[in-house]
Order: sequence, then C-alpha cells, then structure tokens
Amino acid sequence: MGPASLNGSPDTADVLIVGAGASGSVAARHLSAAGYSVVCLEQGGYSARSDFPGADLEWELKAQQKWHPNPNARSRPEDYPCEVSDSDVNPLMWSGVGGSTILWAAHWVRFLPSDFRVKTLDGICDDWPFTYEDLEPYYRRVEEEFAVSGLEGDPAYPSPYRPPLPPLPIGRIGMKAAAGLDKLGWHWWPGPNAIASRPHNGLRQCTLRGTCLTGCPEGAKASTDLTHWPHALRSGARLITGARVRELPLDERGRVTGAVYIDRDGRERRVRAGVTILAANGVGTPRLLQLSTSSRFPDGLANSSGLVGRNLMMHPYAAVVGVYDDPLESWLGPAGQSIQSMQFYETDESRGFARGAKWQVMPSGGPLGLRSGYAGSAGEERIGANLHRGIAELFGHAFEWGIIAEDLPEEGNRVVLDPVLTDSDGVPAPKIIYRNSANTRAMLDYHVARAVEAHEAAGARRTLSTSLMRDCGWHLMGTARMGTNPATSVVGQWGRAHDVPNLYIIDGSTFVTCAGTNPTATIAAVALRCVDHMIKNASSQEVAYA
Amino acid sequence: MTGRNPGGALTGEQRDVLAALADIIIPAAEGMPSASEIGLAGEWAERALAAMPADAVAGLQRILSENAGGSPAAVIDALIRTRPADLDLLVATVSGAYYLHPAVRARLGYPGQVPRTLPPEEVTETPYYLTGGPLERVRRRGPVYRPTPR
Repeated sequence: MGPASLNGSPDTADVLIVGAGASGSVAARHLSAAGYSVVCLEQGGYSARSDFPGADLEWELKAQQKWHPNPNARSRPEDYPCEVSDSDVNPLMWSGVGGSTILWAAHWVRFLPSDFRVKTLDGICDDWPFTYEDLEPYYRRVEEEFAVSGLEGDPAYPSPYRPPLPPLPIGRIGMKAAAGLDKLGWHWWPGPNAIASRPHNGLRQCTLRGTCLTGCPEGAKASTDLTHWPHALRSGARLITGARVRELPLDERGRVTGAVYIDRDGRERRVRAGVTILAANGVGTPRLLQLSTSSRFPDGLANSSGLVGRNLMMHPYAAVVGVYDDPLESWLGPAGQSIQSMQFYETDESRGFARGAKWQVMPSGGPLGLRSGYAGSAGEERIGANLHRGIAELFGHAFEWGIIAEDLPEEGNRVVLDPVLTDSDGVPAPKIIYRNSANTRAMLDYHVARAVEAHEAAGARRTLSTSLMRDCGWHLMGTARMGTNPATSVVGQWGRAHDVPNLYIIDGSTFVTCAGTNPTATIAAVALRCVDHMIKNASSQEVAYA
Repeated sequence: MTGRNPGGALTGEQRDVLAALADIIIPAAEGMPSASEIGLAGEWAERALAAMPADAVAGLQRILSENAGGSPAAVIDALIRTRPADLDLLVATVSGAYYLHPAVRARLGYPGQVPRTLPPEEVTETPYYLTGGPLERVRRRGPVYRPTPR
C-alpha cells in the first residue's frame, strides 16, 4: 500500500502523474494496482479508433495536417507550439491519452548492453547508473504489456530475449532487403514491433494496413490508451483530460505539493499529492520544470545542477530509398518495421566517428508518399508523362532503409522557455536549440553510403538518399538526465530528483545517452523500474501534504 | 475560408481552371487516364480538398482565381518559371485527387491501405524465411553486440 492517503477529495492523491503517455501510463497502471490513489493530468484527450484516417480513402491527404506528427503543423489547441528557428530538427509528439504512442511507428527495440556503458567502452559521455542486465527483467514485463511481436534469438542481444508474440510478416520488402544483407554477410533480424500479431491484452490482430503512423484503426498497435489505461482506471486511477499543467508548486520544506493546471473552461485548478511524477517527454518535462521557479529554485524546479533542459538528444534520421524492378507490394504494413539491422550499431573508431545507428525497413505508404522521391526536381520533370513514369517506376517497387543515428549529449542542445511564444492557454512555449554535430554528420554520411551498398546488393536499379530530415524529432531525450552526482545530473537511477525528494521524472528526459535506436522500450522499462522501487520503498518516501 | 462555395471548396470558374490545368499536369499517358477522363475537377477534387489543410485549400483557390482565362500550358509554364511553390501546391492537389480514383488505383495495382487478416496458422513461431536459411546464417555469424564490461 502507498503512504497514508490524503483526505480523499477529488483533487488529492497519493501520487500525481503529469502526462498520460508511455511512461505515465506505465506508472498509473502499476501504482494504482499497488493500492496508491493516483491522479493523472493530461492536456489532450482521448482518440477514438474511428477518428483515425487509416481506413479512409483520403488517408494520405489527411495525414498532412490533423494527424501530422509535428505539433506546429497540427496547431490543435491541446498542442503547445515549439519555437524551432534555432533547431536543425523539429520535435514530434502527440498530446492526448496515450501520448505519442497514438502516432508512433511502434518499433520496439531494446537498447544494447553497450548503450548503458558508453563512457567505459568508448571513453566519451557518461555511463548510465545501471546496466542492461539490471533493466532486462523490466523489459520482459513491459513487453508483455505492450504486445511485442518478434523472434527469439537475435544475436544483437544477450540471451534469452523472447518476445511474447510471434513476428509479423516481413513481406516482400523484408525479403528483398534481407537478400541484400545476406549477400553482404551483414546482420539483420525481423523487426520487433509493439503491434499484436495475435489478439493480446485487449489488442486485435494486425491486418497489415500500414497506416500505423496516423493511429491504428484496427486497435492492433500498442498505444497506452488501450494497453495501460483500462487497467489503471479499473484499479481506481483518475485521469483528468484537458488539463494543462502550468506549474508545480513547492512547500516551505522544499517538497512539490502537486500541480496547478488550467482546465478547458480556462479555470485554474490544483491537484495536491504526496508524490509527483513528471512524464511529459523530453520537451514537456524540462518546460514544466523551468516554469516552476521559486526562491529555492530560481532557474527551475530541481535545477541546482543547471542541467534541466540541457543535453537534448533527438536521433537525427536519414533514409535511403531503393527502387527495384520487382513488384514488392511496398504499401503493405506494418509501419511498424519489417526487418532491422544492427550491423553498424557498435562503435568502430576506424570509421571516423563514435557510436552507431540502427537501420530499419519500412513500407512506402501510398502513391503520394513517393512524390517526395523526386522533390526538388525541376517542374517539367514532375508533371505530364513524367509524372506517370515516376509513379510507375517507384510505386510498389521501392522501400526505405531508415537510419536512426545516436547523437551525443551536448549541453548547448537544449530546451528553454521562449520569451514570446505561448500555448493556447498563454503558458510560455518551449524553444528548441539543437544543432547536429560533426560526429552526427560523419555518422550519417557513412551509414547512407552503407545503405546504398545494401540496396545495390539486393538488386536495386537506383537509390534516392535523404541525409538529414528535419521532421524526425520523434525521440526526445536527455533533458533531465540521471546520474549519481547531483552536480552533474537531475535525477538518480530511480527517477527521484536529487533536489526534491518527492518529485520523480520517468520519461526519456532522464536518459544519459540516447543509443542509436528507438527509445520507447527503454522508456517503458525504466518507468516500471522506477515505479517498482517507489512501491517497495514506500515506507521511506518523503511526501508533501496540502 | 475565402471563396467557399456552399456546394464545395471551389466555385464553378475555379473548377473550370482546375480541370484545364489538371490535364496538363496529368495527361493521358503511359497507359494511365487523364485528369479529365476521371472527372478529377468535380467530386474527386472536392474529396481531396476536404481532406487537406485549410491553408492549402485557400492557396489553391487563390492560384485558380489568379490564373482564370489564361492558356493552361502558358499558366503551367509561368508557374514553373516564377512560382514554384504554387506549382507544388497545384501538383499536390491534382495528384491527391487523381490517386483517390478507383480506376487509377486499379491501373496501378494498388488496392489501397486495406486490411489483410492473416489466418492464425500463418502467424507462427517459425516463419518461412527461417526454413530457407538466411536467418540461420545470421545466427551462425554470432553476436554483434558488445557485452556489459565486468
């Protein structure tokens, strides 16, 4: 059981969670199951499966605004804008129950053991305060919850690693890509997906529509509104939607007392809680901390280190499309990933850069998606008979090797409060300051060249490369990093803020380094590890009372 | 939204301009029908516009109104030379409408993003690509990760 509950009024709880995305949902489910009274504040609302455009004829067109991953492109009232004029990458996210799992591609990829020991192995950055082996039991538990489909035995991981559901079909695009890597003797494996290959945990079986990135109309993709919130609500958790948190107040003893939020009627309300957990992602969490200043924390809550908002990492992304003579049905899902490769993941200093990248094969979508394959061409090349020839060459005959590059933490890459821009409630918006480094550029150049080789080995007639995409900031990490030294970190290994004993951060903000692969598996596992520790150590937890 | 016709996003004049320009952008060629052969400027353009962002629709309305009465080929040529962003929007709209049409999709061999339910017996622990050998070769090459240092 948790600490003694507050007086049971609707605006009090043992634990307040800010954000109903991946990490907040994991916390809500497990804390409520353990008997804690839990309130979660989420600025967005629920998404109905019927809202998702993937089953619509106009799917590709509808993806351009309302379901675009960039909040600046969507501009819904529940989205806060991000000032990005000083950023090479646009942050991508979704505000709503389920957070960015509503629109994610559901690639479920554990970090590799070396990702937790970058300092020890490569002499740069810092080590995490725990190892892959410490986190492995939590990976296993959340993989069951997230309905991960994959294949046992991947030599990119220590054994045992057995996803709970069998892999989704890799399709003709996967077989073609695999043939190229097979010829080169390079690693590949069926890509694990948090997409149900069989009915599981309330999810339906995937039907390979390939419209995952605009929400799954089948209810087969794991989003935490489906996988976690039903459990949390049955256990008594309370979810308040349309609640835009603007500040986390502090009491005279230096404890967070909960949150002040603005409801959809524009009224300011408070939730009081013994413990507060921030799960608002690598941009939203530092934003809230910086909004919560006090005499004790003039530079932002829990920011005695000066590192809140700093070390932003966003995984620069490149892609190489290969064009083939064979018909590949390349619009078929999951989207999701077909196969992945860790061939160039681990550091090899002879390449001229540190760290590496994971590759994945993804489907191409419909015919409009392929127009970007000749974006930048002269006008005449894109119209008339040339338009038909271009589509005939590309559509159904092309797939992409996507490259997720590990960017190194740099304090200059950061999230701050913009002095002018605000959200629809007048709360200062975040400003993103982010520049790709020489290491990143060298890494992407190398990987793009290898991906071209992979396509050529598979028989591609030609390739189209995009070296650095702007709309790729899906993964938001590092801005409230964890560590053992309060002078060089914001939280400890259990997510508790060094400066504030009843404040926890459990989202990707806490990542020390970002690995070269998708972070959600690790976000969920770390969140569960933190929450487990909180539950086991409840008797010694310092709390605030209203 | 400016210029909104109660019957759709486009006025009659705008629709006529769109029809003429669309046939330059998408003529009958390479075994594919022209824009006018599928009636692009009517129902299909309206369906596309209803799905597009409001600022894109407003932009298209402006482009069509500004270019009423001109020779379609000359209009397209001028857009290529002097207004590439307008050309982009026009091509995006025309393409967006064109590839909605069932006859166009049938010619491409594209059924749409339709569901395929796999029978349970086809979702197995031992997929076909395992029995063929390529994944076994990956396994035999051994680990590709660096273990946690002791």
